[in-house]
Amino acid sequence: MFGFLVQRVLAAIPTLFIISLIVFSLQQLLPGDPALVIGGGEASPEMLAQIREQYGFNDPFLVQYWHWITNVMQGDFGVSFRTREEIGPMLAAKIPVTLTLATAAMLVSLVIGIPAGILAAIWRGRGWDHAVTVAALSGISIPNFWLGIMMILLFAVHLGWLPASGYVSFFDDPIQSIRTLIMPAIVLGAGLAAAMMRHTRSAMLTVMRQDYVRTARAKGVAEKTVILKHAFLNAQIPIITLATLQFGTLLAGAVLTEQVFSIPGVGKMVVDAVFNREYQAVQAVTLLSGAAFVLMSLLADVLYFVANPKLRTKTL
Amino acid sequence: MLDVTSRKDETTARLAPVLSVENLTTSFRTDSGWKSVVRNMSFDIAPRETVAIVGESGSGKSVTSLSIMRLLQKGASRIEGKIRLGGKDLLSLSDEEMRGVRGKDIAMIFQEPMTSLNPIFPIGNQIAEALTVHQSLTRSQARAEVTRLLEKVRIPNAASRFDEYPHQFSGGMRQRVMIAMALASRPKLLIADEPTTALDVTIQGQILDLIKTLQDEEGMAVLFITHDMGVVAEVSDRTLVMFRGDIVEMGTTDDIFHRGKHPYTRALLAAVPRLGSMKGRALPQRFPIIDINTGEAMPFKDVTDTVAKTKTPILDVKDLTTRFDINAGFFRRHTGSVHAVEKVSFSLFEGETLSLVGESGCGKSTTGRSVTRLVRPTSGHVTVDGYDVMTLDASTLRTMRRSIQMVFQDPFASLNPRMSVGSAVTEPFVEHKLGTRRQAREKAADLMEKVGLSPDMMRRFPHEFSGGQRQRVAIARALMLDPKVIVADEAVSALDVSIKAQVCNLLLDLQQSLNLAYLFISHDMAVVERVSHRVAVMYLGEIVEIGPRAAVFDNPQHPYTRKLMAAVPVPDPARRSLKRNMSTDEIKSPFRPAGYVPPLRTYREVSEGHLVQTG
Repeated sequence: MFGFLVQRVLAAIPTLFIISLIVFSLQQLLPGDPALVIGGGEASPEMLAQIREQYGFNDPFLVQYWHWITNVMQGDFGVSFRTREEIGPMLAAKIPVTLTLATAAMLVSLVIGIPAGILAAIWRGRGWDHAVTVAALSGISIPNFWLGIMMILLFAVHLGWLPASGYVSFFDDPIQSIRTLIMPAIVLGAGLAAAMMRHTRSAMLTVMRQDYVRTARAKGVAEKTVILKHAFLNAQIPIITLATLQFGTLLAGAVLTEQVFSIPGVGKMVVDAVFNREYQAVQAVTLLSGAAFVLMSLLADVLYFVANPKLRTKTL
Repeated sequence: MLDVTSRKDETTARLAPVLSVENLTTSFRTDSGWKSVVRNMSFDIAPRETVAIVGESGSGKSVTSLSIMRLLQKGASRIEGKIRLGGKDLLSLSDEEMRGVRGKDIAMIFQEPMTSLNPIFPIGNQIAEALTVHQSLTRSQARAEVTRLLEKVRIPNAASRFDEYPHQFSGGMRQRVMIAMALASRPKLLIADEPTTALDVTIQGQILDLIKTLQDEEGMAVLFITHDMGVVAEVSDRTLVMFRGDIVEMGTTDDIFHRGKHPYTRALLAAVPRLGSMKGRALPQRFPIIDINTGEAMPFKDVTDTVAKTKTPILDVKDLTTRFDINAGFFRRHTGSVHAVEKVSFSLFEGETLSLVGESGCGKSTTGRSVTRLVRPTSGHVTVDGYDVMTLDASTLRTMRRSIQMVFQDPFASLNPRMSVGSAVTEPFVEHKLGTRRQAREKAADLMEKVGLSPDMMRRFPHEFSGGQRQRVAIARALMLDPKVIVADEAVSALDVSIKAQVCNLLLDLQQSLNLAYLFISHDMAVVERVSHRVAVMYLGEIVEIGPRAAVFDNPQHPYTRKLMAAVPVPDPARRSLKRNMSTDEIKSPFRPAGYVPPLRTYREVSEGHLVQTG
């Protein structure tokens, strides 16, 4: 297990390096002069030249990249040009918010998607299967922001059950935190729940046809155990793949959801940074979401390892 | 209450059958209503008795066993009639009551040991589950009982293998695990559904022995489902012959084999290749075909000698070696190789059939693929029709393939389902630009007739054909380029007995008319005996014995050849009590660590052309 982990972590390093290079070069291609942002609209050409010199904008690309990446590796993501605030601590405050939201959305999708998928597989072709399929299609096709607005209208404005917006840390007030998270989590997780349901259903249909499921029935195992133990535990692999791959998509989807529910997360910060040409901040967030993807696929490998004894017992 | 009835069962058990099936009819839901696949079946199984149900694919034999276990999908199937197990009618039990019968009173083992065990649980737990669903046991009690069962099915080092997963066991060992699981609750009846069909012949011998021994020890009745008449003869007291959903004949195994009345029974038995039936003949022989309707044997001609011994061989193989490197570990280091084919030499003449025979992993298929260069050999010399196969460039390789074509095992997987049979057959001709499409179609139509199909069928798609017909199509496709050699890789192994006989006869006919040379790759000794001029026995990548068919079969010299021949079930009920007393050794792996130097092999000539490896 340890050797396997080391191998995977080492393999992630070049990936991260390539991601950082792409992030940095894409940023260079974007229109807009950062010197203008720093100096303000009425800065003289001399001042702009001085700013460019000071911030190293005139250096060759690789030199700029080298400065940036060495700083990033020390946890220094640069300073906001406008507010003079350090980006690192700013991110550190916002990342937990977005992570909480994404995790809650993931939980929603697992809790809804997996049981619905299992039931649809068992009752294949019958009423429940069709109902779940229709629900899944709706889940995928309804846009996040619209669903968010409709839910706010119903549950916050009309019924007054849940707060319409905002964010409360779980450690400050767990109950209020959950109450504020419910709607954003459902909005963000709905699409993934639908995908999860479809994947669980097809994985279960494949597994239920396997010979070992028949063996389990032939030895007199109760149907519930046959489905949950013998079949479902074998259907996990595609579910793990989907969940880990989609976690990155959840982070991306959080941008919109955070806007709708005014949640002070990374998503909101990124939107603001883009509008203000705070390219250092945009770079930092892009790099971190890239790293999140890499981390999630690492997690997927570890989970495969746990779920599949063939990998675990392989003699290297 | 329950106690009383079960004690009563025990006292009457000597007289009463364990299982009594009356008018069993099983139907499946189709688009056009219910379609019966088993009709009005009635039979009894007495305690300690073995009853075999024999039939070809689609005869309903497996559906019968699944009906008894009520394992067919609900809603999509309907079971009518009565199935009595010691006074209970299984069909009237609730689902929960039936669950109590499964695995406890009736246990079942299946055809595919490779897929019948759950890959993510240790085998010990899977066997323990068969115990704990029917009785409450502590962990340590269950573990002790499982170890006892593993020892009972003769798994070496039983206790230490409890926590191992199915993929760490070979096919034969997995079937032992399945048997241990089935025996867990000391069932009254064991249903064995083709339990040895997927196994190699020496392993099959071990498993048949094991089932017989355990039946004696446990005193259970066995319902044995199989398509293999040789297996039937060896295991069963009574035999039921099924044909398309009906029992056509039922009786003691001896009566069925020697005094079978129904034409189908006779046809089936005539088609069964019988090891040792070719004594005193030098040439191959067609299978006798009996008309299913009349029971009359159709006349067949003896084959004439087609082997052109005087010419240079059409296929010449010298020291052919094919290895597959294994890279493992952190840096994907080369740790060793699978020595799939190791210094194999043989020659094949025009009009000759040379069979490569052996068990899985012996390298027979890799040899076939190496001489056609579907895989690249590591070293050696191969000459096909004048081409030096080892050094061909891409375009000459294509031209070379006109001389040597392949027919594969699985007639379902080797035809593209989206291509009409006509385009599949004409494709090689068109691809090699040998003529116009019109010429291709004419030639294909001609070949379709040659392989016993009608040219009108060319417009149809593979799913409209039966397995045997598809294999005929595959043969027609192989013939499209007028090859001189056909590599038939287990070409008849997946076919039903009667179809197998027909396709073998077709291959012999084509050899007679087209003077084809066959490299016939097979694990089936009895078929090999029937169709070959010469035979090469392969073991762990090497030829251990090669020679004229009559010499090898009548006078086998190598211990492995003898072992292989002794393991083949012969359809003769006199062998009912036969026990092979085979050890539980497994087929060895041809994997060798890096740096391994294969020993130099020497051969001894027993008689003319009959060579045996001596060391």
